Amino acid sequence: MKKILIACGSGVATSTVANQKISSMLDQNGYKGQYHIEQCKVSEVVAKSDGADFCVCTTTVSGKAKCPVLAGLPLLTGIGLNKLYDQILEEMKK
Amino acid sequence: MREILEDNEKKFLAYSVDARSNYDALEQLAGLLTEKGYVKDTFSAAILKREKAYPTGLPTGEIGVAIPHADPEHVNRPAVCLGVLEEPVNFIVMGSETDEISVSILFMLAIKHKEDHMTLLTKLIDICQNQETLNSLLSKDEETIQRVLESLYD
Repeated sequence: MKKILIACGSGVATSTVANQKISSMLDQNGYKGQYHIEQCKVSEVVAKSDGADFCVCTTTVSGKAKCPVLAGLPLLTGIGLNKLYDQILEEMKK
Repeated sequence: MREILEDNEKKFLAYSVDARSNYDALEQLAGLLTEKGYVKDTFSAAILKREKAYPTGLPTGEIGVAIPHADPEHVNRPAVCLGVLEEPVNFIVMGSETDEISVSILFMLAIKHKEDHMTLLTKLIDICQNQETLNSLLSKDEETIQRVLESLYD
């Protein structure tokens, strides 16, 4: 079971969109039931990163997270989205 | 500022905004939502503070968009407020500290519970990624804007 953190400034707006898009991409790639997503504020990322496999953030994380952090902007702009999906799938294989 | 439309039932509004800067545009739209009771008096300051800490510009193409929002505690009733800018203003790109983009369209979001807005937010982001739709919003045509905003709630 992979633990994924998804964060944005408020933990309610863009992370909600990111959560939906990533879940549906992972399900389409056969990962249904093999991951757990926690949505949070970016200010909580460093503290929560200890138990996470990787994190996708739509804003910059200040401080040092204890897991890899991927930039989630492509989920919102559509630009560079395939590359981000590849990076996420790479993390899922680890 | 000039009203293009307000749908009380579905909770969306659209305004044409003449702004000198990004903060000016944010203050005008936030002030409007406060005046109309959608948000609390603290919303405007919260929007500005948030924009400075976590900018909301989305580099989606030639027509740039920003999606300013604040924490749910500042919201009374959920709403989506579209601001079509007379002249573009610069916003910092989300997730960046210095990259600026020129923004012509603002979607100011008053969000109460994330669970209620999941589909709406996803649809909104789809609109932000569609330059053709964004271009149609720039027309400030009431019917066009009504149709696009209504599609968020389908």
